[in-house]
Amino acid sequence: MMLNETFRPHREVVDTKLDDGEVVLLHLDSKTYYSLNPTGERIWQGLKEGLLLGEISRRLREEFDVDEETAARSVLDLVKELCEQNLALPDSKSS
Amino acid sequence: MPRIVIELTNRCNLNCGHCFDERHAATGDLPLAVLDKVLLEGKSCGIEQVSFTGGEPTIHRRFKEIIERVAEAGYQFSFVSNGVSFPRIYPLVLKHRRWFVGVTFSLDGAREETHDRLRGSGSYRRVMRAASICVVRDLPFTFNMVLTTQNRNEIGEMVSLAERLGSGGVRFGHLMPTPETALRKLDLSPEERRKLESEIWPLKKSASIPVGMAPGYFSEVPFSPCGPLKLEEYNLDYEGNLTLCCQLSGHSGKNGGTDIMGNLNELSLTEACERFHLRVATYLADKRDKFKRGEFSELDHFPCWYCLKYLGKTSWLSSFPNHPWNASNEIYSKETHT
Repeated sequence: MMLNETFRPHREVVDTKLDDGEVVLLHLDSKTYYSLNPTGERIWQGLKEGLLLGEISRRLREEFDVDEETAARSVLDLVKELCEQNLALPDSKSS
Repeated sequence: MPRIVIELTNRCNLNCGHCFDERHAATGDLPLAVLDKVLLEGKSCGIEQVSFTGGEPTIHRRFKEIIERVAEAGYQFSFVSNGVSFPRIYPLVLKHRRWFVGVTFSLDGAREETHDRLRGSGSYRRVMRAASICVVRDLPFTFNMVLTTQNRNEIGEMVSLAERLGSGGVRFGHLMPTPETALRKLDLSPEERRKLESEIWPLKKSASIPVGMAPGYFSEVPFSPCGPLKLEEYNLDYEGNLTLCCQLSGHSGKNGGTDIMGNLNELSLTEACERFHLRVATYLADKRDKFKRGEFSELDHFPCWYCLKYLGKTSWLSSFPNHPWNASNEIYSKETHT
């Protein structure tokens, strides 16, 4: 998984943003719920917008005042986990 | 626990194929003065719980004030919803969760395509969003499925779905036939209804969550009592009319003489409840007489169908000679049961 790749939410995932910034994901196939904290929500939002992982990482640096390495690691770790849970997929259009 | 079912509005943000036209006619919201009267007198009438329905109750223009007044008056509350507005209103529910009994989401298919065919594209996922919020915020919720020709094969699937989504239960209910449901061929025949009931009853024992049926299922006992007939449930429509039953309220257009006990814009709740009790006594006496005369038919064992006839709401069936509920040719044309 590289920062110049894009990933997209699985089409069978329903996302719901809560009033405190948390996001709940429900996979309609497995009927399993997952919860994302506000940082995870920003990463999820980036996937929905079709951004490169590197662009999502840059956004995190700006919004949460974290260093480049921490932001990149957060993005890569979460997207890896989302893919493992079948909540996100590599975007075939990404380079 | 005695409760009052209040139709807050007949406006709705969906336009479901099987709903009574009057329930999404968009002609009005319940005035808050009527609600205040209910809250003021309700406890002396034995009412402890308020259950909101519609239309879509959460789109009443003053829903926030309504919940606040109900909580302040110390009533438990619940509501039925299509889930569309739930992401907007759930913080209000959380704020008053001490009084919140639960929300019932209408889910008319275990499969997305089935639900959306009946309720509109995207509506299934909106229910799923609402359920997600309930799970994460620990708000009790259940599902209600109206049985039609479209979802008749999804009963087991629905129970399984409800279990896996963390629902507190699932309730099935029969569709009240109307000219619209007849035209759309949504109505099940009496035999088909009984077949589905025979699928549902075993699930009550095998499921890990409560599974039940709304009143209206076939009952061997002629006097199978529902909430209103047990005097445990009152129904108030959006115009302030205390009516006999929420299942039939709005069927065949606006509620008329046979349904209405009185209007709370004119009467006290106490007076309307007294009329309600007398009306139920008359209803039961009429039913007993009919039974004694040997005029109780097989179809009369479906209690809501019996009431539909009793209240003179089946005359439209004469335009549908092949309708499954027309087979016995036992349509009441009398509308004189006042």
